[in-house]
Amino acid sequence: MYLAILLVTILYLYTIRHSGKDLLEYGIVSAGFVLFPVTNMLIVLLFQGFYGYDETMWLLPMLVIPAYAVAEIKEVIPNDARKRFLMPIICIIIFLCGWMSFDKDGQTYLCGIDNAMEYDEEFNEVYDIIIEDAGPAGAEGSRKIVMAAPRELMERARIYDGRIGLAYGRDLWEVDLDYAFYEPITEEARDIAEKMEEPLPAYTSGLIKNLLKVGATYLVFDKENLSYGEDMQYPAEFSSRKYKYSRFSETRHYVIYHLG
Amino acid sequence: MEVVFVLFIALVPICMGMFVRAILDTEGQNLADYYLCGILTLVVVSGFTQLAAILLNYSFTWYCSTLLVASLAMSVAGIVTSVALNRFSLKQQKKNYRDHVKAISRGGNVLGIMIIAFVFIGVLTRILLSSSILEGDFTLETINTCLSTDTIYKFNSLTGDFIENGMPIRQQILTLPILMGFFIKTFGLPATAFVLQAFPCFVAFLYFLALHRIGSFIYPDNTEKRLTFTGIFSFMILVGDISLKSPSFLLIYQGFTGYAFLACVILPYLFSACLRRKWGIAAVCIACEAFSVWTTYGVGFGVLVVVFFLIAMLLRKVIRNTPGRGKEQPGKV
Repeated sequence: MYLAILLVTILYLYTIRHSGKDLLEYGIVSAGFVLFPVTNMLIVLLFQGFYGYDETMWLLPMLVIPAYAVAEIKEVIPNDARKRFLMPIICIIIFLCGWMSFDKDGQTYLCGIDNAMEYDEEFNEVYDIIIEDAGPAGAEGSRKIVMAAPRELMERARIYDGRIGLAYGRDLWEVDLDYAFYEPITEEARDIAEKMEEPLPAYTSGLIKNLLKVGATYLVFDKENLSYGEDMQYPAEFSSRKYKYSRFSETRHYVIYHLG
Repeated sequence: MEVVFVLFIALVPICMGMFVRAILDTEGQNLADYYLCGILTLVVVSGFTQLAAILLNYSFTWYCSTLLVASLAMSVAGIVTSVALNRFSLKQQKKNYRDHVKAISRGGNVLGIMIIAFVFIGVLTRILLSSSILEGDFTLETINTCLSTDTIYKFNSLTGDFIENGMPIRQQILTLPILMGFFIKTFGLPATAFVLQAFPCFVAFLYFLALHRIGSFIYPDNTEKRLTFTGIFSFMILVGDISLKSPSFLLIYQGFTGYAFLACVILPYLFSACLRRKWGIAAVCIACEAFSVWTTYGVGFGVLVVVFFLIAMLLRKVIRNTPGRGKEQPGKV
């Protein structure tokens, strides 16, 4: 709708033969290039497809020209009751065209969707347990942290502390990030990511093999995906021929294992 | 250390801006111009320092020390140059301030200022109360990786592994996360709060500063019109989150990203530089963009804005020369 406001104000400025300091001409040129499909496609090609149609809107003076037009209109309106109502009416139109008019997946952006500041306290607890177990960075005997966990823990780990390494990164499920690094995502990592979200299979040797291949030193399982053993406890360890992951801590919803 | 940081961010960009404008721009003594120019110059200097650190295999600590020394050296050079060339006059600034206060001291204009201030506080409130959207961005991971490994782009920000297959050079020169890391490390700031809250508020402040520059150019003498322009513009910022990539949306929910910095600071200031035919300042904006977001080897939105402006100037000449059209109305700017 702001685009409509821009085009209307460009038309208004053009019809009143207003030529204010290149603003109108820039508006016409940029609108012509951005909104005409062929030139828009050329702009997108210039950016090698990295930016799309939405980003090309940054070239438009979407706020400058309407604000300029309103300042000019205000001068033209006679100084009576009409002028008193002009600004409130304009503000209402701007408000209705702007805030709350955008929906993503049925949710309006009154508040954000994702909250990085208010982590689930339990996530922080898991990270702190792992960091404490690994020992001070660089100290003798300290472990390297390479964690494999459910997605919600993997997403926040490196935001919480850069020391926490991950078996696979967010680019595995966030396609927007796949441009950043040339490191390929291995089949083992994909398999681990899938299995960490599901109930643990009866035979875990394939999963353990993949975890060892990617160098995971810490595992975190959601308790809902684990089942009790005969001793009414979560599995004490997952082992292969040479190595094993031993349970050493748990929180309310997660069980944590480290490589022994 | 927060106080030292505030002093640094308040004073150093002004002095750096004096230095750059002494070379590139022989007219104008507006403090807002110095500050915006200084911030963009700081980003460019950070970019080159980062590039040197990457190519010469130096650590993040080296980058921080070098950037600190370079920015302070440029600041001193800016003060010396301005005093020597008599470019910056406190007397002139005081006069500008007195004229400004006189112009806005009329009742309606004071109300206009109050409304704009209220809208600005509204923008800051939306930034602070809204949750940041981290999808598609890894600024915090990059900063934490730099801080924990003391390297720049040697370790994968998303996994912490050593980068074996390399990364695009256009990604390696993106300097905003590293610059934020510089502030966090040098001044001991809390990383998450600085990146997700303080920096977006700062970008909002710069946006309003750039907006003020555009308004001051369009209406240099008419305070009432300038306030109307600024008020409507700022209200559109407050409620303009119309799409995932609109500047307002980026400012409120992803103000820490290069895209927000581009859309809210670089492009508006570049726009004002082109309006004033300050092509040297435009070059600084274009260089800053190359270090802030992905460009096609330096050719980004900034270059396109300049090209569109050149075409617009040509169009204006054509319209002016067309009989019956293009004559400016009497009394209009």
